[in-house]
Amino acid sequence: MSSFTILQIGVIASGLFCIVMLIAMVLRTFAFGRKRTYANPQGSSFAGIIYAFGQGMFPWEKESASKHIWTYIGGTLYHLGILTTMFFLATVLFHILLPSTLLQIVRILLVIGGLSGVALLIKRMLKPHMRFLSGGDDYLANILIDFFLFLALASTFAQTVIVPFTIMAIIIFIYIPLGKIRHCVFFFYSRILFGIFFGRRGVLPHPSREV
Amino acid sequence: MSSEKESEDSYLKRIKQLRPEQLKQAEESFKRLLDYKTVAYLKSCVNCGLCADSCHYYLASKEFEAIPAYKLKLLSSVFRSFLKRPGRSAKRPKDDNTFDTRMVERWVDSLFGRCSLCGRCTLNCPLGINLTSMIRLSRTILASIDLVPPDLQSTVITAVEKGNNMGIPRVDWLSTLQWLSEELQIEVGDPDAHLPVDKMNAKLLYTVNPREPKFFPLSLLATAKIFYAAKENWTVASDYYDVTNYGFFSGDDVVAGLISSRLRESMARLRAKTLILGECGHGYNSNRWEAPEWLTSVDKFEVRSIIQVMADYIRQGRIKLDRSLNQKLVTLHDPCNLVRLGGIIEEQRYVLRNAVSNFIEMSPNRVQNFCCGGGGGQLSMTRFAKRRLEAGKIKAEQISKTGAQIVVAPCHNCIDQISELNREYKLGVEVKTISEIVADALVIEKKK
Repeated sequence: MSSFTILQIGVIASGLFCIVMLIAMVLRTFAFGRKRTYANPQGSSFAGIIYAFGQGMFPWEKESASKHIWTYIGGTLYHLGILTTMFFLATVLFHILLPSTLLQIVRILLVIGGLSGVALLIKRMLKPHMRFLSGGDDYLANILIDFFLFLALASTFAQTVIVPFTIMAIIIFIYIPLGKIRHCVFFFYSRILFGIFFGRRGVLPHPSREV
Repeated sequence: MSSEKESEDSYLKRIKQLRPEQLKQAEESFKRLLDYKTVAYLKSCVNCGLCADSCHYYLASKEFEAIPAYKLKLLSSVFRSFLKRPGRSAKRPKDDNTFDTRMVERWVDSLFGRCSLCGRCTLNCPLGINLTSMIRLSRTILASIDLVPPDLQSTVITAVEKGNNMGIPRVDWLSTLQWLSEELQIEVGDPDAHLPVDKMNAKLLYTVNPREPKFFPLSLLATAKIFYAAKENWTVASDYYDVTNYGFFSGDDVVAGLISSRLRESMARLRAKTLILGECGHGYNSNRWEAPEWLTSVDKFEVRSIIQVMADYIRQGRIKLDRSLNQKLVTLHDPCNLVRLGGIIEEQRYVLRNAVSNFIEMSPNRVQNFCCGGGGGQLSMTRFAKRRLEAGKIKAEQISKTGAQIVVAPCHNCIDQISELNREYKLGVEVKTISEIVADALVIEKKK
């Protein structure tokens, strides 16, 4: 068995660990019980959920995004970079060769994503209110992911970086359920709840926009 | 004043002297209150800090303790500390996350003292965490060990013991209604006009904020005039008519349920068809949305806001309004519990556009409106009054930018707060309810 095969197995095993842990975390929340809702709805929960993942994701719908447009753009690019890294990891694991055009796009997304991540880290370090809120996990998660993105980028140029890149993938997968990166699942969870809450109350989606 | 000071001191003393079994009791309450939603919220925050600018307390003070994510952190850190190591909770070394008297002080300071439960952070959280419900949950935990700030708690107790939060004796309520009936007769020129009390099988049971009979009876008269013009079959109850529910603010679900159940008792006793909630933001949210949850029962009747009723009257041509009777420039304040958390968003605008000649929106408005600062029980908690007025600066600036002469606020708590802001920030505006504005524009055909 080659050392890369061992790493392949390691990535898949840690990936499975990550998925199982995340599923377990979600299932564990249900163990706390579910309360029935009694108030008669005024709007639609389903429409609220659609809003939460559609229209509600646009910056003009959320002041937290429109007032912090660079953070919004940076965050979006950062997450796009992470998705690209995962895609690239899959190609590495299963020996898929990317066409050069696609490889160029991957590189661009990784550069932009990585730089966005670093920018968000700098913002966290510089803004006093962010420093006040932040714990070790907030910094570590960002640094690990930034490093992961840059290793992915380096791997697109040099085969020798693939080993540290896959080792990093194992670390990331193990870390995901243990720290804040678990929001990769809980984001969807809480946005669904957001949609249900405002949807059934007839608050969102609302046809009239702010004047 | 000195008794207020004494009760404040005794409150702080109570916090400092909390016994381990009381802290344990609070932890148990916390565990009991958790469900899948709250646990998901406790695990979701990424400390992005983007909620900070959505909070009027933070915007006005720039104090980190006002940041909604910090408030959630106060809960999640305690949650983690007692759930991760259940077997070691008694023996574990003390850390920053331990639920001790210091943590309780932080909870009271941020969760009672720097939040009006306005829901703006919830709406703007990129992850959609219902921070408002989590902050209220923390108040429920504090209420379970009798740590609601005393002035807020006294309002709750008055409501429970006297049947309304102002402690108005029944005889005073009835004589106010009698006096208002006489006023109504003069105003509309009809000797038969009156405010019906305990009328059986009425279509609408109208509920009011006790501030109206106590301090603003003309506001109640305005609503009566609208009902009269619409030839409505309505009534008020002689016993339970208080639309407010300070149990909603204190976090005590049992008491909140009791207060809301009384309006339902009035509905059953009088066999009314629809429960109409007067102009009160939290009264609407608590009675329309929260009461069924507290009482674990589905309302068999419709619960509506008086604003929806007025909008219907206009649409159906049941009342005639003359906009020219309201010439001054009017702006509208959106009460958080009615709009962002209640879903009554356009009706008040429809009513105002039919009732006034000059209307201007505040910016931002509707679901993105800023809280005036009077919600969340803040008006009752004198210990936090200075902060409340500071936080209200954001609303004062909004009002000032419109150049309006009249601010309409369909909520008596908001009216009280905006009236204080009016004095504090020298806004020079009149503050009115929607009913008052509509009543001013009413065209009433005199009875022949």
